[in-house]
Amino acid sequence: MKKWGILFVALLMVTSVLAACGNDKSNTAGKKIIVGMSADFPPYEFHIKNEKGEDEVVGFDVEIAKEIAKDLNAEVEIKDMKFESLLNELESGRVDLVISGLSPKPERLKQIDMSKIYYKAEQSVVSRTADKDKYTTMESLEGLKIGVQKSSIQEDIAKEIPNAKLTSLSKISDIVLQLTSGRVDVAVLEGPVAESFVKQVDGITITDAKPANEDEGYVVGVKKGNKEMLDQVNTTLDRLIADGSIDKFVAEASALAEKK
Amino acid sequence: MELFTMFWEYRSYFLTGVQYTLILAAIGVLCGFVLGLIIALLRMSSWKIVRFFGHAWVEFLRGTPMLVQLLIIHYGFATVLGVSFSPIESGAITLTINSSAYLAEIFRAGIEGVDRGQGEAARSLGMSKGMTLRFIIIPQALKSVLPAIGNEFITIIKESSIVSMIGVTEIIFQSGVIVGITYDPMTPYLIAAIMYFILTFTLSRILGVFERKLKASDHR
Repeated sequence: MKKWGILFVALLMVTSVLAACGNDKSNTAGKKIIVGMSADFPPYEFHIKNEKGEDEVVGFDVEIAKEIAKDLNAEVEIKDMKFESLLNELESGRVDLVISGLSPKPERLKQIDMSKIYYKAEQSVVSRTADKDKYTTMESLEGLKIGVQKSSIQEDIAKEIPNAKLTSLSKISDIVLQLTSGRVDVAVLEGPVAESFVKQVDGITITDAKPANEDEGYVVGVKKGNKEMLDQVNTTLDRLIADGSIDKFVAEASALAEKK
Repeated sequence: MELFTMFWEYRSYFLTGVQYTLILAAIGVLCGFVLGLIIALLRMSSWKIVRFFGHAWVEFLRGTPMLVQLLIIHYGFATVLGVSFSPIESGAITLTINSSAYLAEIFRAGIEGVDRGQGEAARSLGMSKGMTLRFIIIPQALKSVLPAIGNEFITIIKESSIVSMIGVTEIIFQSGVIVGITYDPMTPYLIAAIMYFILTFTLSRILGVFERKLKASDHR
C-alpha cells in the first residue's frame, strides 16, 4: 500500500507544478502586451547576457515593441519562439503582436493582419572568403548548395536560382555553421544580419552578388480582425518613421550586436 | 576547456533548461506509466468497445510523429476548439499520451507473458479477478518488462527536446539561445549532449538497482 501512497503524492506534486505553470499565464490579463519574436536574428532581435548576468532579448524590433506598448500604456513581454511557430502563436491568441522581421507575403495576409512597412533591408549573399571571387553575380550561383532560414524571404529568393539545392534551417547561426564547415557553398542572408555575422565569424565574407531587390520591407503582424490594435500599431509606426527613431534603433541595435 | 568555461558562464541558462527537461520528463514518465497501464488493461478487457478504444489509442499515437501530436495539441486545439494550454502543459500532455501508447504495449506483452497457471492458481485460491491482477499478474509482469520500461523512460527524456518547438525553455532551446549569443555553433550542443547523457545514465543506473532488487527472489 505504501508504494501507491508514494505514487499518489508524486502525482499530486506533478499536478501542482502544472497548475502553477498555468497560473503564470492568467496573470497577464492586465495591461501587458505579449510580443512574439524569433530572437536569433541580429540586429533585429537577439539574446544577450546583460551586465547583471541575466538573459535579455534586445534589438530594434524590441525597441519598436516597447514604443508600441508605451503608446498603449502597457508593459511589454517578449516571447521567444521559433520563426515558423510565430504565426500559429498569433492565431491561437498566445501573443498579441509578431514583430520579427516579418515580410508582407500575400499568403500570410490570409492568416493575419499586417501593419504598414516599417523597415526595408537589402539581401546579401555570403560565402567563404576563399570563394569570394567565384560568386560575383546572381547567375554564378546556379546549381550551388545554398543555406537559408526556413520559411524566410531569403528562402524564396534562393528558390528562384536555377538548380540550386537549398538547405533550410531554423537558426541563422546553424546556417553559418553549414557554410564554414563546407556543407553549403553560399548563404543568402538579410543585409544587416549578414554584416554582423561576417564581423563575428572568421573565414566568411559578403560577395558582390546582389539579389534583385524585391524586398517589400517588414511589417508587424496582428491577429486577424483586431482593428483597434492594428490602428494603434500603425499610429506608433508613423511616429517612429517620421522622427527617425527607427533608423536610430537600427544603428544602436547593430552596434549592440557587434559588441556581444 | 572551452566546454567548462562556457558551461560556467551560462550556467543559469543550462540550469533553467535542465529544470524544464526534468519537469517534463518526470510528468511524462509518471503519468505515462499510469496511463499506459490503464490502456494496457483496456486492450485486454472483455468488452469489445473498450478493447477497440485501447487499440485505436495505441495505433494512432504510435503511428503519428510526436511533433505532429504536439503541434495539434498546442496550436490545433487553441485555434479550432479554443482550448489554450500553456506550452509546458501541451508538452506534458503530448509526452504523457505518446509514451502511454508505447508503455501500454510493453505492459501488455508483460501481462500476457505471465504463465496462465499463475492466474488460474490465484483464482482457484479464491482471489477475485482484480486481486489476481494486482497481486499476482502485474507484479510478475512488471518484473519481466522492467528493462523495456527503462528503455522507454530514457526515450521520454530525450524526446522531451521537441517541446523546444513551442518555446518551452528546456535544454535544447536554451542551447539554441546560447548559440545565438556566442556565435559558437557547437559547444552549447555538446554541453547539452553531456547533460542529456548524465540524466539518462543516472536513470538507467537507478533502474538497474531496482531490477537487481526484484531479481533477488529469483536466486534460491
